[in-house]
Amino acid sequence: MDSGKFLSSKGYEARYWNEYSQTMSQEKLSELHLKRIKNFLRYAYDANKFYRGLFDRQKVNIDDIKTLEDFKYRIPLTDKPMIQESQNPYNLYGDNLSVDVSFIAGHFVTSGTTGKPLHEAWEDYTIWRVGQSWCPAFWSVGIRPEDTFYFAFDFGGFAGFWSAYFGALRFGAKVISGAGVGVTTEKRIHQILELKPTVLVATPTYTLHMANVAKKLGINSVKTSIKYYVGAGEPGTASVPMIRKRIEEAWGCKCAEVLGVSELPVASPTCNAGDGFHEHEMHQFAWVRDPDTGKEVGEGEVGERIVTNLSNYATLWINYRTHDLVRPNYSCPCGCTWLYYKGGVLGRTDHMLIYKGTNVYQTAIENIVSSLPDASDYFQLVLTRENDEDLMTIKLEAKEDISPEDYGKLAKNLETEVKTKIGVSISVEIVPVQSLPRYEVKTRRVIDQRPEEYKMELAKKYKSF
Amino acid sequence: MVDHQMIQKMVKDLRQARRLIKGYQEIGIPEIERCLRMADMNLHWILWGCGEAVQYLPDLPLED
Repeated sequence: MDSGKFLSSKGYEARYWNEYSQTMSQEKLSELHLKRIKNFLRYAYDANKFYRGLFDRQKVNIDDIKTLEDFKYRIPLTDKPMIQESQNPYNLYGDNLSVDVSFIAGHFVTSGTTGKPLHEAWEDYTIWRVGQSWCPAFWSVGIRPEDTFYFAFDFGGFAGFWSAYFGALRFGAKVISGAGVGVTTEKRIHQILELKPTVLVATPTYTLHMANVAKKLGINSVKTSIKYYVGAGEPGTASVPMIRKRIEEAWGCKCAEVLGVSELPVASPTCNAGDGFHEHEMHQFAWVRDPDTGKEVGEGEVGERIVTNLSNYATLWINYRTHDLVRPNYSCPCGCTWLYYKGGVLGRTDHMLIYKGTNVYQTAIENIVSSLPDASDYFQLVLTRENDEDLMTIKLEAKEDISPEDYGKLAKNLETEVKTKIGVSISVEIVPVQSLPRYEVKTRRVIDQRPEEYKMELAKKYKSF
Repeated sequence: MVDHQMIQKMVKDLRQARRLIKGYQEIGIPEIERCLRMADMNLHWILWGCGEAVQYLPDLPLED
């Protein structure tokens, strides 16, 4: 038998993790989605109190769903607050639970970035399916089962971290946890030196923070054993090219990223040939919706990613609003036929700032900030409202070796770059080094200080899309 | 390049393998039952990934 250690030699030469599904024609994918969605709707109606109630209240007869267009427009959209509404200490998973609790094999929570954490139930199969959903991203960047993964975070109950771990196990790789009592960033760097992992898994901002800490310890992160970086959790290497460049330079590694929403048990892979993600079409059906018209956007236009997850049969996500703003493309130079989001996630509907008539996307600002040589990786976008107008201020730490005398010059440079590249004037405040918070999980870039009543008005508007 | 003929043959064989596994899933030996369940989950997942299986859970009756 012509075998390598974990795969056959033919398997090692494969371009894709699964060429059969990753190059499936759009027609075949659509046909498959329709079959699976019809089946899934029946399951949701029969087994899930939340969806049965929703469909009944909205007078939706699932047998009337004959096409994907029927599905997109006749099945109501769902959103996190709707699911959260019925969750309480006496009914942990709320009404969105389709199996008896004895079938639940994993309990997780979302990171709570946008408010109260959501409880999630995964059944046994989901754990391995969601793990497997990471594998196309691992494979595409060159990671192989012989590699060793280092997870630079405390896992806690955050589904996203655990799913990466399950992914590495499913992939066949060796795993090292960087969690534990009293494990600091310094300790993690020493663990990397000692245990010699080849793949670093962390959020993009924390990865850059680790490189900064290594430098302070006199350790050259480029010369460590790390050959690959896999990220998720915040706009990173696929959405912000300058972050990719900084991570590549800081660690001397190749970068992969997955697009996930923590409540959805799936990781959509980064595209190795381009700057974006492919929807994982074996796990999910997705379409991109115009926030103004409610219709599907055309190719290359910006809209909100709406997904139906087909991996979890305990908690269901049907026509679910991710609030991620993406630009769909139906072809990609890499040859993968799965829906392609060029430029990655451009921003969030709940952080979208229409400033003097221009949509300002978080990632556009991140790209500009990270391109300035004197800017550090630590900054915030602060939203305020004055005189009936949204205002954005960029609070930025300069690099530690920049003299405070040059802060004014840095602020001016950034204001000019933003004005030139985005077309709006945004004020910049250079804040003292080490004054902004550091995050291991998800970096909070956007600090929304607009009045609560105004934000509630905005939320209502977005809800009525 | 994907060998579509080989895939079709594999799909047929794996469906048969699942039928065989189902025959032993109530053998009454926990270790064997759990192993067979995991084996069946993997077979189901191969079929799903090849765009064949549309039944959402491996535990449900076979589709053919």
